[in-house]
Amino acid sequence: MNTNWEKTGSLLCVVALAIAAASCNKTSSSAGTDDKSGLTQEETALREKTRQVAAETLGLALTGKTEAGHSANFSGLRTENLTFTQRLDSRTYITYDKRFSQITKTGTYKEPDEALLKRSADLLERLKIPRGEVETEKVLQEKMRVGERDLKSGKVRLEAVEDGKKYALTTRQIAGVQVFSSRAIIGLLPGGEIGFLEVHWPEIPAKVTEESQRYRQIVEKKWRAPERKGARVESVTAGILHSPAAATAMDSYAVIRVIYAPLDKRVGKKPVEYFDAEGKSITMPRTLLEPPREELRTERPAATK
Amino acid sequence: MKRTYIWAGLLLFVAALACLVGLRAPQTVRANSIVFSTGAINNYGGNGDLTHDIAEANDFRAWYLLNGHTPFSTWTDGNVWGSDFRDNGSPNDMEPSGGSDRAQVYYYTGHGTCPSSQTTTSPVDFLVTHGNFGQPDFTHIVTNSVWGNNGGRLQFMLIDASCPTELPEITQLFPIYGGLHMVTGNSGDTNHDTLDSEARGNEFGLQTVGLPFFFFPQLPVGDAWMNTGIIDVQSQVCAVAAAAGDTRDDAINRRENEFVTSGWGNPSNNWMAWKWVCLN
Repeated sequence: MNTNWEKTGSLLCVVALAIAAASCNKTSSSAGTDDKSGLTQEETALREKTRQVAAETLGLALTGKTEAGHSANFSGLRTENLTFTQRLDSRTYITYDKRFSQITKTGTYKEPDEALLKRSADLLERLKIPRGEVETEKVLQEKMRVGERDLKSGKVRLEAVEDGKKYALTTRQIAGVQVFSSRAIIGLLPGGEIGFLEVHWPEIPAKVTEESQRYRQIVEKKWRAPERKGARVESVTAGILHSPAAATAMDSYAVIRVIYAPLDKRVGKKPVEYFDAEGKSITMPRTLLEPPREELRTERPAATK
Repeated sequence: MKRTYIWAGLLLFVAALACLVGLRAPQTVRANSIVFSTGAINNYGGNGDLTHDIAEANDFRAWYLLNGHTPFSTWTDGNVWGSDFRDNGSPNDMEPSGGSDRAQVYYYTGHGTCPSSQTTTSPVDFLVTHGNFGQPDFTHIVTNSVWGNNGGRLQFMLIDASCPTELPEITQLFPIYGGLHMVTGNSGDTNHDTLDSEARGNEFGLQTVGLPFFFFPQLPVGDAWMNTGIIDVQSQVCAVAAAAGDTRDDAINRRENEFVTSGWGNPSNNWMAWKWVCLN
């Protein structure tokens, strides 16, 4: 009898260890650790290409242990401080260095705005972003402040406003038509290395850019924006809309953007609608091809305390 | 002896299954899973209706779900009540089906109120709902909202509603910190306002939780908002992030380094550190 129990127990242990070994091994290769065993030639090439963009194009210092992998339309890598990812279906690159946020230890980038803009332009050129598509380049200066409240009197003592991080923001146009969804935003560490970078500059199909030109001409003539109850039309602009950087889909459309101002002047956040030339609402570019499934309740139960 | 073998075997078996499930579907298991809510309003009964807020909240929520975090409430339109954001009265922010103080993270997207200029210090920090219950719809967060107190668990109040964190009167926000760690929002005025947007909340959602299997980085809440709070806004609108702290250094550390998943304890509310970036 005892022998049977021992056999059962041993069998369970063996099965368990087998499952653990199989699952953990498979995951480590599919999730992309630095162990490249089991990768196809294509996957190995993809990882190498990702590494090249990170290290050679952007100059990221990939020191220490580096994990790499890919999933859906993203391919990336990470070290102790850095995370880098790029989209495989778009000119989209995102990188973040933890030290960028640790300003009390590392400080902030103090060079003049011109130096940041020059570095930003250089990085965009390295990423093969067409210079002719740049609409605006500007530096955004973060500000910081601290206040202490006296809990008895309620009085607040304010410290002086300080400069924080700087971001170079680049916006996009194609042949004079704004691309509302594209941008490049870059912040640097005190030594000039990349602290944060998001470049989302997908290639736009020719038929979309052609359509956007047509929309621009229509808007310049006498296109009449659909009315909206409780709001007035504030501005009408032809442009291009596409899926965001954080997405597994990539749609792009020529649109006419109408910004409305609420008639109730207390109310903030301006309604925005995107139309085609006939004044029909555009279906918004998709974000996720397969959004996570969730059960949404539509009727809220009566309030109880 | 036989029980020892069986228990050892079962233990290993369960551990192996956990390994199998956890690593193959990383979105389903997270040690630092948090509870979050979204409230999104498009329908204002014809008074400046919005179009993209419900989709924006869906996008925000999707990244949290993919990371294995747990939604508490996800109400839209009339099911988002003004009372969900008020500390007093009945119902209030502890209402069991959707009070904002029931979750650790609350993402609100809808109307707020804006002043006529950014030099005013008049009370303007309102959330504006269009509820089928829990009126009034206008909630002055400075005087009516306290989060993280009396059993409330809200740590991050993330407001996508134009101007309810106006910079000229930001020090009026001290009372909202009843345990709350951080608030994010925008500062502007009626001529320099945030725009109805799906992209802003989508990007903010992903940056605040990251996505390890996409190698998408997770940023501290403050830095995530500094670069996403300026998406789809008019010039001179500012993204604002404000953190409470036990001490000066604690408030600064939270402003710069706290993630929604940090799991840090609740701060007191005698120090506040804030930062902002304006679209020029």
